[in-house]
Amino acid sequence: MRIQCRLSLLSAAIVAGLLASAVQLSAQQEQNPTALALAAFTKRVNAYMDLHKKAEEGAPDVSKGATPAEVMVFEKALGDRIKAARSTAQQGDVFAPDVAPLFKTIFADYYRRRSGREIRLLFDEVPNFKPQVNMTYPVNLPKANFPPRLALAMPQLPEQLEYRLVGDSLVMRDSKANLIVDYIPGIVPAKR
Amino acid sequence: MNSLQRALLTVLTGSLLLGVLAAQTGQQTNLPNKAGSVKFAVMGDMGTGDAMQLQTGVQLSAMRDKFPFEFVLMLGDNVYGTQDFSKKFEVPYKTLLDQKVPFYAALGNHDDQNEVFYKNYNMNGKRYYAFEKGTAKFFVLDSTRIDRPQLDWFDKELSSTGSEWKIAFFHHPLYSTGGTHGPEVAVREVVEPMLVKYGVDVVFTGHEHFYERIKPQLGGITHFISGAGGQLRKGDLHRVDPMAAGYDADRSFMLVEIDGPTMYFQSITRTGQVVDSGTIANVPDPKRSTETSPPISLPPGPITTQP
Repeated sequence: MRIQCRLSLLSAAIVAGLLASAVQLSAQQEQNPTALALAAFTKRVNAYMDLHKKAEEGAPDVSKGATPAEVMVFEKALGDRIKAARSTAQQGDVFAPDVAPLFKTIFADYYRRRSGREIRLLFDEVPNFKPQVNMTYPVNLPKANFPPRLALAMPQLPEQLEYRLVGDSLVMRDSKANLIVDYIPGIVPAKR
Repeated sequence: MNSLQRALLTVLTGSLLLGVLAAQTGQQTNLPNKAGSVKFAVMGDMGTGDAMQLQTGVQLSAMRDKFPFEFVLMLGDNVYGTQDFSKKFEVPYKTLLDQKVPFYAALGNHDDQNEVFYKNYNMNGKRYYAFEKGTAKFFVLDSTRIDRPQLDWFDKELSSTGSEWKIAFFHHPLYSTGGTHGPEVAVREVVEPMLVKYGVDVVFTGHEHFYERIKPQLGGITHFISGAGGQLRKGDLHRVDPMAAGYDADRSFMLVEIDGPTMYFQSITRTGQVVDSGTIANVPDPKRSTETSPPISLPPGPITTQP
């Protein structure tokens, strides 16, 4: 009985500690515009993923392995469904003005630390076209590597979404639907 | 005549041509070809669907008669442009597919990520994955998109394997003397420390449209580029340090055999010419050697002896 009582006291103390930390964290977030912007960004990404999942429910199932034709039908069906559900989407809906400056700072910081030669290598095979929201990523163009250290500095996206570079833009691409979800133009500094 | 018929005709023509070439070159593999060894082929940047890819595919199939490799590693850019898997994969490697030879694919910068669902690539819906063959474990990365979950997965897989041979393959070369692309430094700075830490022995990559063997780098790791399975960038090799050997005059693929602590390799052209060959000794496993080495200091406490 005494042991139980001690355990209860210990649990209460831990819970109180956790609550205090949560309150403190919440207060910090309230005061920290960066944390608030990132939280809002995550919320928008999650909202997109909810839409994606809903669209995928109606698309053919390829998860257990498929023929090339089935894969193509899946990709097109998913893309069409998402386009229809986001027909009014615009640039800045996900990369909203609250996070765009933050991401620009992350990019500027990353590229500032690179030598001219490294930057030239980073521009290797970066496709140059004008991205648009809901645009199918051109199948005949390569997808440039997104620099790993830059990826680690950016918020982690769900598996189906990826950051890509297109010209001087940061693009968020739905890799399963092969669609451009959103983009930030002019984020990549000019080649040195 | 439809496109499939045209492709089959090209294969047939290529086969006849290579039959003549094979008779001339003798198609020597010079690999030990031992029973019980791990035998595989390696190729990258194949998926053009043109006659050169077809002829390289025919040569690869012909080599299997001499050297019965069990599976094929694909180093990315498996399909360029439109996702015509029939023309760019199923026709060029029809003989091998009919023989039930499994292909294991990595994604390249020209690939569609939904290739992970294509059953003949054996990716099981994953853009990074691992598989074992005998004494070797293969780690397949998506070098076009290295992120935290992939790095965490790679670290976990490497740290938990007890395989004697650890082989990584992905699209972008960490080292290259190619004039068009060059080394993928941004990928190297995050991936190489893990390769070294866990004693990866060999890395196969593509992206550069030629064959290149790099001198052993950090951790004694040998890096290969075999990116001329269909594409070719003639004369693109700069042939400077750290290149150990290279070939950029024709399409090529590799044949590899692992027998105990030794890996044997050959690079073979579309016409069956061997342009590089050699052996690689297994890189000692840092983790394993730490585990088996005697402790530096004894922990405090009484010393007990076994009865």
